[in-house]
Amino acid sequence: MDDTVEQEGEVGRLRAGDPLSWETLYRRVYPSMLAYAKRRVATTEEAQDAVSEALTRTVAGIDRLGATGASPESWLFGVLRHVVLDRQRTSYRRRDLPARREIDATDPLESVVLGEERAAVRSAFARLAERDRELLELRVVAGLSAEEVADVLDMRPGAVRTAQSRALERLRGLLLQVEQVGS
Amino acid sequence: MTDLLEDATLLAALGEVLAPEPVAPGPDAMAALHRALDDRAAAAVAVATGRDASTPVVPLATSARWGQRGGTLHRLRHPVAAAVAVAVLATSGMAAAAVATDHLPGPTRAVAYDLGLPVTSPALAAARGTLAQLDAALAAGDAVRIRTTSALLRSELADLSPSDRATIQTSAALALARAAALAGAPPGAAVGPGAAPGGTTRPGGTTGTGPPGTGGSTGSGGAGGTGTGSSSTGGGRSGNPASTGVGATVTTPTTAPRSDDGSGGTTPGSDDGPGDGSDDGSGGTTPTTAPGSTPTTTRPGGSDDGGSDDGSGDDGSDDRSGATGDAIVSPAATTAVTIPRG
Repeated sequence: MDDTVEQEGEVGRLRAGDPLSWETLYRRVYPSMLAYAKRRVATTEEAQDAVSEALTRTVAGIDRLGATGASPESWLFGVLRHVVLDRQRTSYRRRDLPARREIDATDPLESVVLGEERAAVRSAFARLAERDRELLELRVVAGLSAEEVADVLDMRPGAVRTAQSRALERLRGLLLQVEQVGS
Repeated sequence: MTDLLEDATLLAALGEVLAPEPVAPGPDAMAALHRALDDRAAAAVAVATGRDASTPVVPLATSARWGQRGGTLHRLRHPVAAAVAVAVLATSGMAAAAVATDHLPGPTRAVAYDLGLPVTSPALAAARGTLAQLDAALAAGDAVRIRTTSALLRSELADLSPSDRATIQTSAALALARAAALAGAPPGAAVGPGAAPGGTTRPGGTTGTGPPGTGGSTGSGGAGGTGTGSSSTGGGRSGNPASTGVGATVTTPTTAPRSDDGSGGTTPGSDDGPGDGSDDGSGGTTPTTAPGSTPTTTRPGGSDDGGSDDGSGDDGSDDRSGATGDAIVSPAATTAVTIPRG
């Protein structure tokens, strides 16, 4: 079945309030949504709450999904992004603190387990600007296409591709710095 | 590290490093999902039924979280339940409004009255309806209707409880007296036993809602209230309205207007009648009381300005001579009507 047709069918079921379709979608995107939120809020519980709130908002506003042509995943991440931003504004929390705290935990044991290369990537990713991190995370972790990321970040798909290319370029530069520091 | 320089390779490595934990939404997360779905369904029902979808819906539901709340009905979750609740609220709201405004159809009123709800009794409502018909007939000068509605009203008044009768007796007595006068009935012929033929008319008289006067005339039978003004400054003809319901004589305006400067006020009272109560009746001089009638209070030469009674004698005293009865009869009276006992 064509992806577009399948997506339209899923959107139709979601708009109809089909519980099974919603459960399937939720189980599919929950891990990446939680990971996205955990890197941006202070605690796992807060991240879980943010994901739940995003889902609730998405259910309430699902009727608008069909008009946008966006995928349910990108719609969910778009809502989650706003929920996280709201919480960050409310708590005056710096967006990168949780990420730094988590990703910078390059203790020796982790280096042994994950390998030097992985640790370097994590460290370099943590040093990226938030905009770059978010874009790459949506592409890599959430698995969204450039068009879907464009929906989430309110950008043009072409601009997303350009920004992604630049973000990867900066990541490579940071990796080299990490390597030089390590050596 | 050099193999990470390609975009695709770097993205793959990044995906591996940042891969989310394989977690599944917990029971609370799934409950939240279903709650959201139920809320959305309830909102759809609300929109379909015309209710404001933004209005919070009241509880009914089943979920793990609700159980944790000790079974408290937190939100209405089922569309049917929501619709039922909306219907119940709308119905009860209309009922409350109807009771508050006392606008009820007959059967509903009877049920409501039997249930003890604060509604007018069916008998009183019927009497009021008949009274309205009588007033209309009087206004139209329809002799046939006047006769029929008068008879009906008298019978309905007889069936009223004392408290109900007290609320309508004044206007009913006036209307009946007018009816009797216009129908040309012989004095007392149409009003039943205890009638006071020869009673006088009293245009725009006070309704007599005040207590009986403390001095002189008790001024009971403050019927005939058609005036609009207040007679509390000494209008003097107010009295205990209850006294008119039991054979008291009530006079109606017919032919002999009187002048009443209101100086001999007996009882401070209010005059809530609808008429303008202007009565300069200069011709009223002769109190006429038929034999066997209820004792009346006569006011030789007194005037009755009804609602505009500005008499200065606001001390409750009545300097009118012969003021001893419990009905007011103005001079040249023609008809008196007695409301039968229930």
